[in-house]
Amino acid sequence: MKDVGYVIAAYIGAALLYGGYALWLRIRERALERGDRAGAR
Amino acid sequence: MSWASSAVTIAGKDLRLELRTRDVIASVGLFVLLVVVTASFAFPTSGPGREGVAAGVLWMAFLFAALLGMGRSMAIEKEDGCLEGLMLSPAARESVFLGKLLANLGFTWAVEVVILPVFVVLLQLAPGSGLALLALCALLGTLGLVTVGTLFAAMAVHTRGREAILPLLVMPVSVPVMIAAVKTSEAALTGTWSSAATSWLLLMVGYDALFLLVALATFPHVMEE
Amino acid sequence: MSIETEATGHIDETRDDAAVAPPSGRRKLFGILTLVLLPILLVMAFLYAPEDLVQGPAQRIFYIHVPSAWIGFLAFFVVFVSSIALLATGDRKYDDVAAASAEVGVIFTTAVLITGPLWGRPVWGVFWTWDPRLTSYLMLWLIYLSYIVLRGYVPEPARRARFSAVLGIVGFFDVPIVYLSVRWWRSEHPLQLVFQRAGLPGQMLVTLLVGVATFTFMYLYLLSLRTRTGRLRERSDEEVTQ
Repeated sequence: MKDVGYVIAAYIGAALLYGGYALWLRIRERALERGDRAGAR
Repeated sequence: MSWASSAVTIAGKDLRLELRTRDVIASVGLFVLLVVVTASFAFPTSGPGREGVAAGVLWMAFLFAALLGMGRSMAIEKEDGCLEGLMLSPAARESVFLGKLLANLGFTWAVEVVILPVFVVLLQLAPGSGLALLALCALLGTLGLVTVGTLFAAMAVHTRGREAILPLLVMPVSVPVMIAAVKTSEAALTGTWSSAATSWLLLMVGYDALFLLVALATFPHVMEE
Repeated sequence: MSIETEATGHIDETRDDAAVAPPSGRRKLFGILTLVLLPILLVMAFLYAPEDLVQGPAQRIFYIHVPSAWIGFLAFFVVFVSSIALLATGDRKYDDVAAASAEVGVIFTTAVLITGPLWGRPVWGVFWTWDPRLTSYLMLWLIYLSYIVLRGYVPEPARRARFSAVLGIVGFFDVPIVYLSVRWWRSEHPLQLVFQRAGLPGQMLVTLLVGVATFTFMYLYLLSLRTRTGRLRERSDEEVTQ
């Protein structure tokens, strides 16, 4: 894999990790606010 | 009763009980022996540089001995209701910790003293004058493992999985002492006492002192209730 | 029901306050700042900062790897300070923050452990080396994980808070000692990959600083969010057990 491939992989991987985590937390927050414990688990 | 004599009394109680039942030492000792034998099949324990491999095997065995022993002894205490008894007694929390620490040290060193000659013979090593260094290293290294381990064992027995979580808690924190102990043992097994070995010993002393203080400070919080 | 302890603050099993507060305005601010800075960082990292003469394009990973590493450590420091505060005062809000910072810290540390090898492979030819920095980072990650696993194993809230705090304190003292001992260990082996950073060119430094700022706000946002969801979760757990 060319060097640029590694850079792109790193940036996209980080974006998925951080973005995915933030999204997951927001979804959980909404579920818990609704009182939907099953959705939060 | 001063805190020191409380600690010794508690340790004495544990050790006397162990001498009578030989519960922990027997199972731990046999397990460690099996680890050493299995490792001699699994790892290249002949040829040049084998002291390094041997040192690693030795300390894995000692680590398992410490973890098993501390886990089991604390679990037995909890099962028999002794932990609550200790908490209700007028003994200071710190004395209870020291007592448990001394008892665990006693068990583990007893296992190590038996395993060490067996290990040297099985792996065909010739430490010669390095034996003193090896003994000192075992003393200081085990102290480090048992200090952290006693604190975490007191926590572990109050969790859902009982003492099963103890290795998970101890192993990351024990990395420095494991590195130091293995490097020192490697030097000892080749029969040399280099200045590097002294540095590693000093690291172990520092580690032991630091975590003894941290454990003494935090143990009362573990034993609340 | 509260549990009395000796000289330290006692920790209530259940909370007295009625409900979890709505998301703070500060959190929104952190979020907006992060979203504003991210595209700026990307532009700077790829267009403004010069390409490294020795390492080539792969060096650009540096601008997300290093900020992640600093924040990963900051998050653990927050766990450490909150843990001490919890044991000293008994106020469960410190446990909320500690637990949140630990989970967020795992995310940042994971990012370090992923971007690190992706940087190492093209530039130095290997995905991993046992050098002091990477090894300490691996240990930090493992201690974080053991913290989170421990919390999963203790159902009682007050006890969980105390045990986590003890682990947070012990773990924090351990990381620098791991770094020292690995450095000592590896210095005996001359074959070592050394990354020389003899002063960064100005453009690279500015980009790095923007990266640090971005990731700091991102951490603060995620910490805020995770603290709130943690409180919401504990609140609903308590309602079930009552």
